[in-house]
Amino acid sequence: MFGREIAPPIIVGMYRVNVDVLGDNVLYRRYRNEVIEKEVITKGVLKLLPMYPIYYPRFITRHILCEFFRPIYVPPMDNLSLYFYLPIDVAVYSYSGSSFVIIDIVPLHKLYKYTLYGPPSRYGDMSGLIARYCKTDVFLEKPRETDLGFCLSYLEVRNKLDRFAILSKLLLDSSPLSIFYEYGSWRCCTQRVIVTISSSSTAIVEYEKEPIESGYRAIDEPEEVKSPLISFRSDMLWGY
Amino acid sequence: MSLEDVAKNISLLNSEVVYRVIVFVSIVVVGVVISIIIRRTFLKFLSARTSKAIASNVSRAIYYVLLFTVVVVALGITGIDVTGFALAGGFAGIVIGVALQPLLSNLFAGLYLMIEKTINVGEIVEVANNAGEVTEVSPIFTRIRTFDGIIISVANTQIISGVTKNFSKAVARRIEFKLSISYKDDAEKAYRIIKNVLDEHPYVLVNPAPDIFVSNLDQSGIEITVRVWTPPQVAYDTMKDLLWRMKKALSDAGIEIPFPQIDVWFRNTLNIE
Repeated sequence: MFGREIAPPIIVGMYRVNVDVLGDNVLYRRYRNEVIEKEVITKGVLKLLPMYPIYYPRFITRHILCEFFRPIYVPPMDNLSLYFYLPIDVAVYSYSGSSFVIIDIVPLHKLYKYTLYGPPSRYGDMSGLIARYCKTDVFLEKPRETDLGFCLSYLEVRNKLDRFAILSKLLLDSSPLSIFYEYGSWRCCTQRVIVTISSSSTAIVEYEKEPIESGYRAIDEPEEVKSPLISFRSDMLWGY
Repeated sequence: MSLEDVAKNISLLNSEVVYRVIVFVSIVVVGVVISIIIRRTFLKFLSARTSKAIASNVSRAIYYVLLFTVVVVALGITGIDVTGFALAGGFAGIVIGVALQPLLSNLFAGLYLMIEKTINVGEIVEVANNAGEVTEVSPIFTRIRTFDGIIISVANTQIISGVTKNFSKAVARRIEFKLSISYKDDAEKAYRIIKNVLDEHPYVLVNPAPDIFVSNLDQSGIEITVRVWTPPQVAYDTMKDLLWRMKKALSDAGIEIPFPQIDVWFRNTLNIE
């Protein structure tokens, strides 16, 4: 369960996570089909927390491109709000006081893919970027249950154009994006994400600071995705 | 002047010279120490704010200017007239300028490289048919560690004037494979198997989509070309991994990867005894 110290062996997706405390030291093991896939010796308190799906198989980018199963048609000068699932992995944090380190990422999905958003070459200072690719479902009503491996997100699409805008994908930046979790459960969510469609090919993605579910706690952000100090927004320059 | 006076004068002169030498050496030693401290301070200060190459070269330039200043000051204090340096320096400048023309052109090419950031330390480049990682961009040379571990130095003018491939600047890299299957095997089945391998590989980008097509009907088999895009950081690993996986998947499915062979037909039936 998110936030709790790992004590007895725990099943996380396809894996079994085992922690042996030997004196002050901790032996962490992750098994798949009784075969050890990851083994770490550390000292401190180990906790499971939801994590952006950008660290497995290795960290390449902090961007996530969510392609919707169903496109969203937003009327001119109008708004549309919906929920969607953001895929997540589970991170194993080792805490010592206020310091922490992620010692393992437990992958929860069978397939991990990347994609190029934008062109492969540069146009002056602008270029495409590599993003973690995921296909996700959108809902007009808040889903009752969220499976392990996904967190709930709320999307508001604002169309500033004088014609219909079709939103089929959403580029998220893990830095302004935040994941919040419910202590002692597998539930997690993000903040509200607002997409403003500003032209036929560009959109602005803004991130609020508060979680969409009250009482949820923010995860400790790893160094690669530390929250920005000022601007909680990112741009989609190559279509939406 | 008596012999005694001459000896006294020589003695006085010697002690004066020794004194001047000691002063000169002291000033130079102290000056060099201060120059080194200033160089290190600048190196630390600039490293935190700009690229390592610029920090290293600017601090080195400051160090040499300080050294020159220290020597001139030390000579001045010890009583040697340094005003002649100005005139001599003018002539020397012309002579040195002509003599060091290739060196200076490299120097300015190096400065241009640093400002333009055409190549930076840590990037994977190919210059003059030498591919590898850039380890240093100095004012005169750029040093590249080739993939087989050899350090090569390329003059900066060569980089400016020649063709430089910078693989690290690419947002995504395309890699290409050529596979052959025998004529008796099902090409569509091979296509499906290869596509499946590509779809399951995390580093094969979804977009631009992989390209698989029959590119040649060869003497010994059907040539299939596979083109995929991948993040540049993992291009080499992906290239190694994918070829192995495709070969394994095709072999597991019973698809034969042919080798060059010639069928020889005889007009008459051969009698083998």
